[in-house]
Amino acid sequence: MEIANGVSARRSWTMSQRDDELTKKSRAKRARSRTQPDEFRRHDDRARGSTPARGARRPASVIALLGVAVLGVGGYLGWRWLAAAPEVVIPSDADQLHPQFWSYVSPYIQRVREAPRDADQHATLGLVYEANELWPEAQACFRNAVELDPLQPLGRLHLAIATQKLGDSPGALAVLRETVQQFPGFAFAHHRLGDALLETGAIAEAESAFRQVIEHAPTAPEGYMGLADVKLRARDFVRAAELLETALELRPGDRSASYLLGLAYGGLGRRADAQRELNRGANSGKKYMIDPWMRELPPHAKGVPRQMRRALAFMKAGRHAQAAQFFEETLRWHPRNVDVMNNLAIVYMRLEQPEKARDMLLRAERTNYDRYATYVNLALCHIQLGQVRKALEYADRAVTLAPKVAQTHRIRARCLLRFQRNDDAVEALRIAARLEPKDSALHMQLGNLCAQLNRDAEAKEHYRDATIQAPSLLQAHLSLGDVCLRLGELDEASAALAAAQRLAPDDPQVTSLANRLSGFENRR
Amino acid sequence: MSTTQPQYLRVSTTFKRATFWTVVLPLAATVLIAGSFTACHRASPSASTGNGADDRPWFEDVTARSNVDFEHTSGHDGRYWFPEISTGGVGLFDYDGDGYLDLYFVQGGSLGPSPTAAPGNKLYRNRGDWTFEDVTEIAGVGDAGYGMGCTAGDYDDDGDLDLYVTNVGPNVLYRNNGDGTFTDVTAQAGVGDDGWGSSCTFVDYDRDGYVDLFVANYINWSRGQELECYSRVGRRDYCSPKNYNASARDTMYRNLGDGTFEDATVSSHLSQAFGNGFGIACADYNGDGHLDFYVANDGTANQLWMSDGSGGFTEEALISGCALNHYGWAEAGMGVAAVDVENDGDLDLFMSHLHEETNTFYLNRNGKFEDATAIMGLAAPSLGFTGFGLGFADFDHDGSVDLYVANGRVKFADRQYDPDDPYAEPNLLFRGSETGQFQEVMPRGGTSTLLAATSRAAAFGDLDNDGDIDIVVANKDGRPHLLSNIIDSPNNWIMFRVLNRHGGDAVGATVRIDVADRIQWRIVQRTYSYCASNDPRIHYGLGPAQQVDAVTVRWPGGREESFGSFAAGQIYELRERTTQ
Repeated sequence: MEIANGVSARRSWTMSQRDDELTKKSRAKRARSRTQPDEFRRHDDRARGSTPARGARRPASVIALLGVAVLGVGGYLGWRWLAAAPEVVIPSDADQLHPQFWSYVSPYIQRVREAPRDADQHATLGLVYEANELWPEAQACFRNAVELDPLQPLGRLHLAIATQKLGDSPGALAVLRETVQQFPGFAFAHHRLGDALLETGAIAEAESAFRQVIEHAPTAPEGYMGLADVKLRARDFVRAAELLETALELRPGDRSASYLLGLAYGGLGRRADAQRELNRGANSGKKYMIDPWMRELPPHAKGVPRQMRRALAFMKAGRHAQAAQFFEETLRWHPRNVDVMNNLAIVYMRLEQPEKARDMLLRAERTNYDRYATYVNLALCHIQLGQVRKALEYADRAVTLAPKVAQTHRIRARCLLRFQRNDDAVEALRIAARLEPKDSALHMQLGNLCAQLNRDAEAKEHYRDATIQAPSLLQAHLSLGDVCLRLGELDEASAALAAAQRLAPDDPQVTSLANRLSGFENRR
Repeated sequence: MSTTQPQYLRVSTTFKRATFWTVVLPLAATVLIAGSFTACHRASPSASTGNGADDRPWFEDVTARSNVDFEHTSGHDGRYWFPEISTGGVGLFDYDGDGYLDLYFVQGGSLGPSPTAAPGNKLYRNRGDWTFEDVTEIAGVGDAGYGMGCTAGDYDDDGDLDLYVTNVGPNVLYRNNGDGTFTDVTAQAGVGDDGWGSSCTFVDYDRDGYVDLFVANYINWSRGQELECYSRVGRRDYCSPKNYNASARDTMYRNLGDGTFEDATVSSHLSQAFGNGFGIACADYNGDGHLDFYVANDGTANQLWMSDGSGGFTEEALISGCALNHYGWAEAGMGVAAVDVENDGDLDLFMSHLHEETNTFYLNRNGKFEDATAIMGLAAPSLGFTGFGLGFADFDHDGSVDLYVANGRVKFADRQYDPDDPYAEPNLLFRGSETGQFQEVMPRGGTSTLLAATSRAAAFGDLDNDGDIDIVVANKDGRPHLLSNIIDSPNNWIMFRVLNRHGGDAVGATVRIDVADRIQWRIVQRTYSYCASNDPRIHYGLGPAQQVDAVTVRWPGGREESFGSFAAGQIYELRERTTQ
């Protein structure tokens, strides 16, 4: 009862806030529209496919025709005015939607109800649905927006996107073809069209679409990438590589372009270049041109995964206070979500608030007692609180729950080190390294620990593993060289030094290792 | 709006009255007069796809009259344990040596902290007339682990097929006693990998005469690692494997020839890469005579383990072009098959994926794989579905392989095909052509009634030995579909069982037939698709040809052997000669 009341109160508060925001936004939008620069309007007109004025002198017949047209359009508008406005789109399974989303979308629905003939309102509601991947609803909204404002190309573009997302590729293609026909300067639609055509295997038509992108958006790399994609499929690797190099000049570091360039180099037999570019571009994925409406999507995304992602982005950027706010807000709507609690606790720890973190984690434990992550964080939190014995208890519990997760063994090792149970710590880290053999940091940690314990032979193995996993990690080569020197293994020390010199010839640590090695050799 | 923005971005997001009156009005009038104003507002309805004139079904669902009463359960109890969404395996293998493929269904179970008694896996003996007999209890193969997949192979070289079952938890090896019963020999054999196993295969990778065992592992999961995930709008749903960030390494067990195996994961270098392994396709991808392994990973880069010929493997998927899709994205690899669609003697790869990702076809061009999905007509039709089990076979005997893909979601989606199962989707059937292109067959899925289920494994083989390929589809939380091939084709066919010098199926051998003016290649393989074990016999459609002019087998190791001509319409045995 208490919770229900709380939710209800929060919802009404949020709704009124949202209304205010919407009102402000709408006002700002109208103001922007009024103050649009001439250049913008000119481009708009071009995009909308209008024709230039023909001059002041018009024959009487043209004026008559225009009169007929005015009458016709007047009649049409009158008919439209009398005709029913498009229906307000409400999710079909509204009862299954989370209250947070429902609370967010309700004011937008209300605004459409209040202005059912306002294309902008339908489009904005469509964007809310699109941001939350409610594609049938988004499609219906954009359809309404297009019907009310047939000259807005972005509405058509997003109608096509929603249609495509619903698996109706022919339908999406039809909308896109119609859009580029009506708005020939609209690069975003040409790009989507090219992509959709590629998926259907219509390579020649796709090529033409991407050429249009280049023509109308010559500074956007996507057109070149699209055309390069066409060339790759035609096995014209030379031309593909040229286009992708251009794309990378326009947007240096673009990983999608790098991956495609790697494919082109591979086709040309340039194996080393291909490997480099493929590695650079790995896990990049397909990119679309970001249209103005796409930029509006992120704040509308109200699903937990999206919100978590945004909060984690704040954390990554070191903006912990903002991340905490985000997680706290999410937790209000999802009071039993253990992942949110854990992340919030991590943020509190980073904000040096370990007591708050501990309370949050204990709440997470009460909610779900067998989640290993909670115990890892409890261990971390108790280390921060200086309660190491408790920390070790939690780490042990984490290992019991997730014995195949390296993280649990690492946190246990950390606790064990506090008790100076070094051998146990080494063993725990070894297990972690077996579970994550690619983790060079883990090998370095093991190597350092073994070196501290004068277990140089073991340390050498771990440093060597670190150099294998991260060949460009200077510290790994230096540490390997150091330990080899201590072991009197000069050949291997020289090899490590050579690797370090290749990476950073002028680094003082490299020089120091070189001096020690040459001193050692001289002594011999 | 910033004036420094590129010009192509300058498209208004608002409706401008002035523009309307000055530009739209005359245009609108013209359109109005033309009488077609409203037509341009709406998206055209989707055009229907299909094979046009011939809309006869290719398969009949005979489950109801087959006596197969297996019902899969994922044990879903509202907590969304991650393994629930991917369970459902099936195997076809002739356990009693009577010449008919028997059925083995892998059961899910229950994953809660206090699991209820799991119903266990089931074995059905094939009577040869599309009826089956439940022999699970007599055979002793009703493992009650939380099951994923299975494979068959003669690991002890005694002439009958043994059975390996993968679980979320310890896997199980059943030795065939040769009398219709099996013995659980997991502990003695040392193959009880306790990870989350998925697809697996028996194959002699080191060519010592004993079949070894390759097990794909999905992720390192335990109840303590379970997460809470939600759909886009806050509805509780299954997580993605990426949420767990706990990729597993696959396992290679080397057969020591004495009934035991050693874990060769480290010595074979398989331990050097981790991934979310689901599908396996074992074949010689570079024609060097050594068997390589391709592993389809779910949301992590796929792996291509190229054999060095001495028991070691090097991972070369990225440089070979088959680790990631054409845009560098690690797709959700589920099922996989190696197939030679072009009939050029090298093996291509096809994988099933998540909805909004296409299923992907990688054409092998001199050892480099190129994403040819769109050109082959397989991209757009697959975008709306989540594919799992799959297989290529010439179902209609026209001389070109066709494709069947079993679908079923892993997340809630907007469109529901079954009001009782939000994850259900129809399966897809594609007709292949000589040009290498595919076209979806209607009615959808090739059956007269649309079968929508959460399909997982699909196994392929000739269950009634009538010369055409049938399909068994395992469905999560439901009954399987036994699909009998009912195409009344005037075309001819031929089948071969290809045996090595030990008398076992020569897994990895490639077989070339010359028929009329065409060449067709097939590979002997049990493991492809998703968590499935298939008929290892190779099957060809011959079109109108009455005979095959020449048959050539390239055995694992690279040696070739010719077998002369064969009349169509029969199943033959090709045995590797012991003399060189």
